[in-house]
Amino acid sequence: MATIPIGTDRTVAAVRAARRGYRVLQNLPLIPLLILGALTAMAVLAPVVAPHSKLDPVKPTREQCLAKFNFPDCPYVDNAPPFWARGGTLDTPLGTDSLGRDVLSRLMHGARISLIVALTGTLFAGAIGTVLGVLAGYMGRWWDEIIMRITDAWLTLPSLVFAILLSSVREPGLWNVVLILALVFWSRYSRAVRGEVLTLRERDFVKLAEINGIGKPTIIRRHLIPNVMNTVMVLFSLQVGVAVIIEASLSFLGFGVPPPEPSWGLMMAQERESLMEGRWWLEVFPGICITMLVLSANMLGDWLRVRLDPQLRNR
Amino acid sequence: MLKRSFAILLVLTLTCGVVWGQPILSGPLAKLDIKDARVEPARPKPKGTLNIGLHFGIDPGWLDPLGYYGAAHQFYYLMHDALIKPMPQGEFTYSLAEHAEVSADFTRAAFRLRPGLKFQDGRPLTTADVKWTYENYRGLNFKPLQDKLDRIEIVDDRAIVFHFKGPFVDFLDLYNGSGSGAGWIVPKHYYERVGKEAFNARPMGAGPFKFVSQEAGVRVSVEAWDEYWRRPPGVKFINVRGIRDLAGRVAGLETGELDLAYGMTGKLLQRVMADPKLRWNPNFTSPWHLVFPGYNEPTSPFHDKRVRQAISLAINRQFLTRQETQGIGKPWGNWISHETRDALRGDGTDLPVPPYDPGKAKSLLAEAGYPNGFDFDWYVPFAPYYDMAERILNDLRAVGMRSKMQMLDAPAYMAQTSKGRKGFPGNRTIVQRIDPRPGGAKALIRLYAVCAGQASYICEPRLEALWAKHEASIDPVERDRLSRELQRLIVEEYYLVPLYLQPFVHAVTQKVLPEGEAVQRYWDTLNAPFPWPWEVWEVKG
Repeated sequence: MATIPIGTDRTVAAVRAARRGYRVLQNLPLIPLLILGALTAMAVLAPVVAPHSKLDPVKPTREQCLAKFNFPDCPYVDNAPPFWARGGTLDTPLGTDSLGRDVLSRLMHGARISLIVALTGTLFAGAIGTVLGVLAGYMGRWWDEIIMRITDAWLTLPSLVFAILLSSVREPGLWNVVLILALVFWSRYSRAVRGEVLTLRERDFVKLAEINGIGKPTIIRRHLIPNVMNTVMVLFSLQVGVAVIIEASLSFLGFGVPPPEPSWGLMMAQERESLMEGRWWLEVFPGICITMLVLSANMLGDWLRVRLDPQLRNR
Repeated sequence: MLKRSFAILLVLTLTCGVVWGQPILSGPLAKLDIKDARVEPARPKPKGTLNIGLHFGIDPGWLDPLGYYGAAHQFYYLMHDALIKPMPQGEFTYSLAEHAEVSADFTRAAFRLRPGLKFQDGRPLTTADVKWTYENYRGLNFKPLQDKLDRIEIVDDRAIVFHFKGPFVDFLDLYNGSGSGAGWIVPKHYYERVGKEAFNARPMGAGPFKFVSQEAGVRVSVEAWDEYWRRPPGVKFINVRGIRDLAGRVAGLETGELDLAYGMTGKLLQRVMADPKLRWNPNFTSPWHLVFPGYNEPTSPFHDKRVRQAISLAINRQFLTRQETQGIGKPWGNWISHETRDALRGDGTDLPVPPYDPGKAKSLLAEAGYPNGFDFDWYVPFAPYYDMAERILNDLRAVGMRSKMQMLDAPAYMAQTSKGRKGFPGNRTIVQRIDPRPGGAKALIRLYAVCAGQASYICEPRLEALWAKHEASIDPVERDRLSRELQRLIVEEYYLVPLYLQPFVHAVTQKVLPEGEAVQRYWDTLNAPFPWPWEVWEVKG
């Protein structure tokens, strides 16, 4: 009787695992995940890996001062180009801004603010919208009437104008932007979730639970919320991109995160004039970061929509 | 027949001469230095459009003199007119009034209006409008104007007398169209009929331009009023647009969408200076300075004089002016402009230029109990000078004072600063301020540096004692001495920290006439932030 050595058994298992892993990888949205992963890593590790302070100018050398200002002791050298351009150095690889601060370091720290604002703002909006949507859909009657009329009215408000209105009422700040995003976006969730719950509440498992005398809070918690999470997740991933844009727009208009803290939108807003003078790097790099984040969030949202929709998934 | 006509003419001339020359007030009069208006009725018809780029948003409230605050004067010079006002001829120049008197004891002031004055709707402008405007004025400095008034006597349609409760030496300073809005005459009949809101939406006055339309916060358009008493305006239309973004204003000039733009600074000033198609004027106005709302509360970090001094020492004014103004700004040691009457010069002549010494700033902070510095709530700059604010925040952070910037657009900023302490209720905020206006140093001290000042954050017994003496005195020499003493004390105690004399650079395109550097005549009004009077502006058709 032939025996299979243990080592061969292990090899076969490893090959199978690798095949499974490959299949999983094949189905994963690699590009958006890689971009999001890189941006998240940049945001998390910013205090450790950023080459310079996010707020203080890079201390220039005597030679840099002489070259720029004709005197040896200057506080900073402003508008230094990226390292590959003439006059650029590897010390500030993406150049410096008009206050002599390192663009790369500010981009890294700006990622923290942009991601925090976008993720938490969308999360809060999702939480509020989901709860209200479930209540409106399941409780029906005047619950539905009141919540949905408010939702419909809310949906008619143009989001950026509404965000500016809210931000003029409160002092600018990081958590203020989060609150604004939550207040702007909850209605989108509540409308979608309510529609989902209207079909769920007619399903057998909900009816059986009701017949068995299970209380409404329990049905909502155990049966409805878990079943609308697919929709919520898709919406969440799509709204993250929009939230980044709103945060950038608010900061661009002066209603967002107050300077000198860096956020990508604010970095672009502060250097509008620089573009006229040909200092493209001050606008382009934060612009690329915003584009990458929005694009990857949208791609992830699309992937989730397909994966979680049984009809689309099986095509 | 000829003899008879000559006799009638002689009688008429003598009668007019007697009436014109006859004083309105009895008793000895104070000597006034009010320049005559330059009347030029025979001018060609207005032509062309002047498009102006303002560096901040426009508050519709700025079209109503009764609620004056902030940057409203530029609009008053467009649509309204005052009895006397600052003009290129001098700080006090006759406008609607052709004659003024003040009694030697400063308890009465009288004006005689020009004959035949009317508002833009054709209704006559009389002393009833002058009285009504004064009595209903509620803008900046309205309190001293109301508190000191006893009664207003209308002698006839053209002569009016203001009776004060006591000597009111600074009356003309506050009434000359610069220190308040009370001297800008509003049509009583129209204002009463339409109300405040409608007046703001569609103002009407006796100025050289008639209101056409506005988009709240964004644009105001006016059209020449040919019947303006002094002269028909040179341009047919003026559009003022609020463009906060410097790049937008510069692009507007370069593409020809704008003919005149304000606030050329920082990153793009060099580009404006080098552009052969543009002409610019440095237009030195006032010094930037820092103020500390609530500093006199013991819990404020700015309560300690050493902290305020450290702030002054931490700021590298030389580098700041280089970066912000291409070096044409001048580091300055007073918070009042050198063009202001009775002001101490801050260039070392009267007051020293503040030094830059971050090392000493750190040690002063340590002495004051802040060896590691401290965080304060907000740094509030004047819109849209946000780059400059960040540079100052950089300097402060370098010695340990950390904060963030609150970006307010000009109407919000000016509304808050004009409320004084009420505008900034906390005591850990630094406000960056500038107040360019023609007039005397006393008017600025009254507004910003005494307890009763409407926009004041300063309330100090030593200053109050000097101010009380100043108010009690009617001796001009003593008053000037006290004004200078007050200015010195304010700077030496760092109640206000001056930065540099601001060149508020304006630029015009080739469309603006006259050609060449003769265009500089538009900036002849001393210490005026904007190039009024507007009726003299001309453009190619």
